[in-house]
Amino acid sequence: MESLFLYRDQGNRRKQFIRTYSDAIAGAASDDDGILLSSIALSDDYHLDDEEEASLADRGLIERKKDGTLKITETGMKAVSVYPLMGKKSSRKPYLLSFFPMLLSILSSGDVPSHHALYSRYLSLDLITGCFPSIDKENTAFAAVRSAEAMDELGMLRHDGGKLSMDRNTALSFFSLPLHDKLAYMMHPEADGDMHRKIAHAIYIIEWLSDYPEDEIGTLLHRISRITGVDLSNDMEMLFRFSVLYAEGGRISAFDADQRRADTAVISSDFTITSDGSLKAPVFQFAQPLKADISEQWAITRTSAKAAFSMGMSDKDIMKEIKKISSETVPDMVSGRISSWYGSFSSLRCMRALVISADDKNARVMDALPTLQIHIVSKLSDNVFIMNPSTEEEWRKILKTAGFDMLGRTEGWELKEKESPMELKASSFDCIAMERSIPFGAENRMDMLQNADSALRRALIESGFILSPDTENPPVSMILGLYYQEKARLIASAATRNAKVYAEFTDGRTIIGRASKAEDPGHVIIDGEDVDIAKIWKTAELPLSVKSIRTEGVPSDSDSL
Amino acid sequence: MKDRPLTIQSDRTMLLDVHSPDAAECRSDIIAFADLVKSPEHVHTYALSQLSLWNAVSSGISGEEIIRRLEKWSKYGIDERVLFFIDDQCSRYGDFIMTDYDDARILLTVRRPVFALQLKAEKSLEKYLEPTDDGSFLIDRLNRGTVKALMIKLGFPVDDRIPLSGGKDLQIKLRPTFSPRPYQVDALDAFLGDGKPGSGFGTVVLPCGAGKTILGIMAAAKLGKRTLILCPNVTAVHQWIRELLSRTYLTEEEVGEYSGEKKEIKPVTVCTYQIVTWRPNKEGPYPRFSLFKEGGWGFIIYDEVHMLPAPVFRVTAELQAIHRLGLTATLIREDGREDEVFSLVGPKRYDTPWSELASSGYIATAYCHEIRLQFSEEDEIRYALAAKGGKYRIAAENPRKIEAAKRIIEKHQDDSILIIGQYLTQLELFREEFGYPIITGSTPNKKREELYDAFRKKEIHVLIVSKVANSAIDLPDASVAIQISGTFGSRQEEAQRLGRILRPKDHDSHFYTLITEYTEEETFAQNRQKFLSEQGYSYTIEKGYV
Repeated sequence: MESLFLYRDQGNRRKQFIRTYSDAIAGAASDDDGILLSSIALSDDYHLDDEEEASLADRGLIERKKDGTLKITETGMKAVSVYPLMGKKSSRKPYLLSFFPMLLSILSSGDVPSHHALYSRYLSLDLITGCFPSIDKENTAFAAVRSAEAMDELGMLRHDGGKLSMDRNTALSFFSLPLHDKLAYMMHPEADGDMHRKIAHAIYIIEWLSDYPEDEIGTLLHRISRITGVDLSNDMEMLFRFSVLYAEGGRISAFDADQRRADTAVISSDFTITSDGSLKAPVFQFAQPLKADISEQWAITRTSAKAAFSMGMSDKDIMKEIKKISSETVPDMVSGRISSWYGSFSSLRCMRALVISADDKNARVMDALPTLQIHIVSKLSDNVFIMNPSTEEEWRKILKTAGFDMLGRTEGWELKEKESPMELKASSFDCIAMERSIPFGAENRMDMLQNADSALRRALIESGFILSPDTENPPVSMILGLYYQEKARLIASAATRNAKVYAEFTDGRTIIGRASKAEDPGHVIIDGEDVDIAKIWKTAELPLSVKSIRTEGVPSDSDSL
Repeated sequence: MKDRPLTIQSDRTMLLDVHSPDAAECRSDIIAFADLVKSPEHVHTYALSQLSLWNAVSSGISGEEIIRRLEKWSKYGIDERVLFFIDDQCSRYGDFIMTDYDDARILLTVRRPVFALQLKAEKSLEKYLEPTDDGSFLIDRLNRGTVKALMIKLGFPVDDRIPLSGGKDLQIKLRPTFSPRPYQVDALDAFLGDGKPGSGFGTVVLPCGAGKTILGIMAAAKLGKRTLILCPNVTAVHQWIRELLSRTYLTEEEVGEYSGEKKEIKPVTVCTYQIVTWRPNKEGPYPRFSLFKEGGWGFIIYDEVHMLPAPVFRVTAELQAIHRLGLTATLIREDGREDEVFSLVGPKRYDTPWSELASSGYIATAYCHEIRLQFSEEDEIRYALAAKGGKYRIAAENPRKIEAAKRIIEKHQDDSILIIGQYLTQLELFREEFGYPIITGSTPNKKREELYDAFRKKEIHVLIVSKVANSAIDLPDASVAIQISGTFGSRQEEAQRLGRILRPKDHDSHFYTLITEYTEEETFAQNRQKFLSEQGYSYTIEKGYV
């Protein structure tokens, strides 16, 4: 096999070579190359420096299109993968997908006070944090409070008579978002459309983090910011608090969100819903959380049913949802009880402009309640009362004391009073394979390096140009040190263009690196080292795609390699 | 791996898929170290607790064995925290060892000096512990149970190696007229254990009608000791005596009744909790506690142990040298003292899902119905205007329940029916309306016995009863219960009342509970039903009875 180096500039022959040796080229792409390629694949517009671009382009792994965009070639795609970009693929702890559905249920229940200080305290209670036994309580409380604040900022929450509630469509639309979008909205509710997408993208990538050295995380975050255009450095603590990341033994991983999802559940006569994994269906609408762990457990209660009715669901809607997910026969008791709750809920409804519509029985009771009369502004008919809106809290209490504990929230009122909630959108990103289709042939490279007889060959092997041990060294025009003027001209020219040069010294050392001008005209800076041109024994200009290296050793005998 | 039936969660609860073909084998493996929390139709919940693990270790199951069994059945990998908890708790057992010292005292030794310091630092233990020079403690024999109970609360399980030796021998031979059921044999084995220290005391949980009395008699026969049996009421005392005489060769001279009516102390004596906790004045001592010490008892049975009155706890603490068996259908105590019951009477040794016994035919299959009734227009207003505290009673005493009960009775012409209620005025109204006999707290025992007997003989088709019949009453033929009111949201009462109709028979049983809809009674009813729902009973909700 000839060296790929020979074909870096040769049109059709190059294409033919790359086609023929595509797998070998991809196999010679190192993990660092793979990380770079994966970064490009994940990004809309990944910026490469000229050396990085040359390195990949000269090996046919990427190409720049006429419109200026970078594209990974078919060969390059063989080296694209999540790992090692995001660490070392290993078994990670499972992410608790139930957190957000359960939080939606809690915030829609009508039990959570709407004042910030009060709901912060409520969401930190054991009652809430105890639902997630596998997560640290403090983190759960933080994530719950932070999410409630964000949802409030996004206009997702309503403030009804001192309690929080949520519109069904809003809740469903949040529920259906992918995890990274949910987290992006909760961590940065202030972010507008494009910024939200970038944050979601960064979280989407970081969700793959696996067994990554803690002390190198800064480098990774920098790379992620190059991919997505957003820097998550300041969000790291929040990522831990939201249980996206965890640290163990000096290494950081992301909880694995690609966990068991359950299509079905078991509904028992004690009104519990138990599923083996996080349920795909939005049971949060009508059930309250019991526990989220390996399995997920919910309970249908009078309160959760009331919350569902308040969100516009009927008893039949709930039963339809339950039957859809149930893997066993649903006990009759469940449907019977839900219907009876619905009957109770429907018997008295409070609509916009604070009109109470009551059935005959309740209308009679309302007429007979002496304490209620001062709150009734007028009666439109025997069953329809116009209530004083400014005393809503008082007459709700009176009705509750009289036994109307299933009175739902005022329908329509809040929508008129407040702006519509922000439209929640799912962001989409390109997916890449977890592992490369052609793995990096590290052993092959190591063998070739051990037998490399010159620094240049070594550099070409490390650059991925020499693919097999039987490949001969490609010819490179070298200028001998004896020809000082010619040598100095080449070096000066390279230094002016910041080009890459090969410099072999009389003592056998070799530097391959970018050249730049030094203060002393008889000197040049190569790869950051101030070098006396007179001491260079051999030199050549090399393409940027050849890796910069330094070696100690015996000078080569030949003028050309 | 996916097909294994057990899901072990990080909070140490375990979900058993009862539809798995391996469910039965798995259950028998884990029941020795896990508590059954609930057992509805599809998924049963078990929990690992300090107490359940210590009990397992005390009966010879090591932490390694527990983990091995869990790994055998677990569907997924077991959380490290669960494994650590098992290992940690099991290794704690044996840190504190109780042994004999002299006639008056026992010796508490500790595994490491630091534990002695911990014990000394506990204020609640201070007065019971007499430190010795070698870092151990001497304890008054009478405080053995109290110290054990306190230490368990503090997280220090005591390995009590003092053999149960008290009591005089008594030969109790079973008549060959009955065969024990398999679960009774299992429960007895679990109770008796290997006969070494740490066994021979504890609580057995079996559904109403499953034959707890028989189990008690089997245990007494096996132990062969003078036996004291404590029951919640006189009717139950008489039932125990009846059963003892019919199931064993004991004679009337050997079985005594110690109640308000009789004060006999015989080799087997049956008494009520009430009689032993009687005292002449509120602040004074309990003179009849001497009964515990003077009978030479080697075995005490606490029937309906969930009703064990608080004062009995104190005296029970002194009875640590005697075999003791607690029997109950429901572990729920409204005063939350379940832990004390289990640390003083003994840990739960056996529990089985109600639905299992129903499906095997050992208890009757029961259908539960919630009959929802409306108020009359007048009562609706009365209810709405009533003060918070008075609403429940108005709903519970809804007069329309009479009409509903009438229809139910018509539907069950051939069945023996109990009408059970909470309020005497309401029960009186039912009596006036239907003319059926009534038993309340004020009905003399003799009269009660006559009525129960007539009911058993089917001379009475319907019997109206107050909460005196909530438990410990054996009415084998009762197959329909109509609950017209109850003690607010008591789950225990609901289960006990259902228990009245669970004796196996050739037809199904029906439990009707009458509820006024859209009232507090509805909410309380839901809470009442919780325990039975967790046992897999499903209530059908029916309307239109009136």
